[in-house]
Amino acid sequence: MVDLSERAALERRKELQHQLLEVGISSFRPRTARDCFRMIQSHLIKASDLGLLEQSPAQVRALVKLSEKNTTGTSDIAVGNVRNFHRVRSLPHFSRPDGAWFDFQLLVRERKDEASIIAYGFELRMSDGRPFPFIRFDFNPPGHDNDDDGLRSHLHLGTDDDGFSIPAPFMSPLAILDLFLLRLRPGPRRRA
Amino acid sequence: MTAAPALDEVAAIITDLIALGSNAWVVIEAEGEQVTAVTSFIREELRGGEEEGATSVETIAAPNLVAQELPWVETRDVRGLLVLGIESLSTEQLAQLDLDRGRFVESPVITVITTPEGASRLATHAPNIWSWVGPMYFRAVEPEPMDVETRIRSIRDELGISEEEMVQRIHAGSIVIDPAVAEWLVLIDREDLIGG
Repeated sequence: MVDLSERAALERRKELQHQLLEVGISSFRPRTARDCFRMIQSHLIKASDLGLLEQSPAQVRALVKLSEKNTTGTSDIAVGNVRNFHRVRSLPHFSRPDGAWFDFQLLVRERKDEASIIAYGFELRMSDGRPFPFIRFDFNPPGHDNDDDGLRSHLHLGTDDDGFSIPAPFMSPLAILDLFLLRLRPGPRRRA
Repeated sequence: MTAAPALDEVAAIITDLIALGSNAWVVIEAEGEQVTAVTSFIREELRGGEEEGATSVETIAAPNLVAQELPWVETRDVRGLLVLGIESLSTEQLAQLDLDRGRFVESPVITVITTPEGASRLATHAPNIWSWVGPMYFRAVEPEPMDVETRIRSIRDELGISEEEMVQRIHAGSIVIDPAVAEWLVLIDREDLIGG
């Protein structure tokens, strides 16, 4: 029977979320937060070497920050020492030669011999004339069951309004950086 | 000594040398109580490189470098050696090391982690080895961590509430724990307020 109630839609969204998170989270398991930090840093240094970023390798090292672990074993990895809420270009960020620019932040929790990401935000901002001014991948921290709106991992396309957020898979930081570095730019149409 | 790069940069330099198949000597100078932490940091950083397929690194004690049997000859797949305890070698052992330097022509990258006195003794009593080190002589400088206080302030200023108010709102269920709030909670060590 067709059920278009809010409750039924929420159940379907939670089921979709479960499918979108299950594979990604279990397939990205750095050993430690520093290990995760190192992977991200190496990825960006390689991008710098290849001319995909305007920052030099030394600037990459200076921009990506890792906090000390807190008492529960969680660390923060972020671009710069200031969180950029208002897309202020003078704050620390990475930039592509075409003018697009981005920053990110993630929390990595260490438990025994492995670490897992418990939250992230990666945002790419684009210049005028692109289909949307920014795109952000958000992964919210784990909540309690009754907070679960089926949108723990979601995408913002050009608006911060949560009403427009789109369910998204959990993605490894490297996969998101690949998108920021290599895609999300004009390309040939594959089909007429 | 060159300008002081942080230890993660030094590790990256060593990883590159290893990837190039170099037989370079690298010396990292650390104060006595730092040596263990520096060694563990460098080993972890190189192990990270290893996962990318670049390196196989072993740690050995300095007397093994002057032993008759060189430790890497049997195991050709070792591409990097971390050498500890150079500072404990006698003047004679260091002089012998220098005389026998030809043995290192085909060696893996050798990274010596030692005290300032150890580096000084190596330079004095093994001058040819020291010239091999050349610019690859670094003082251990910890990478600069995040300035957590500044980061916290930038979030607090934006949300416009104190930490106490935030905690109250979380208990009252009137604030959504999004990535920014979660970051704040982790940085002020109140991760207990996050689920999971």
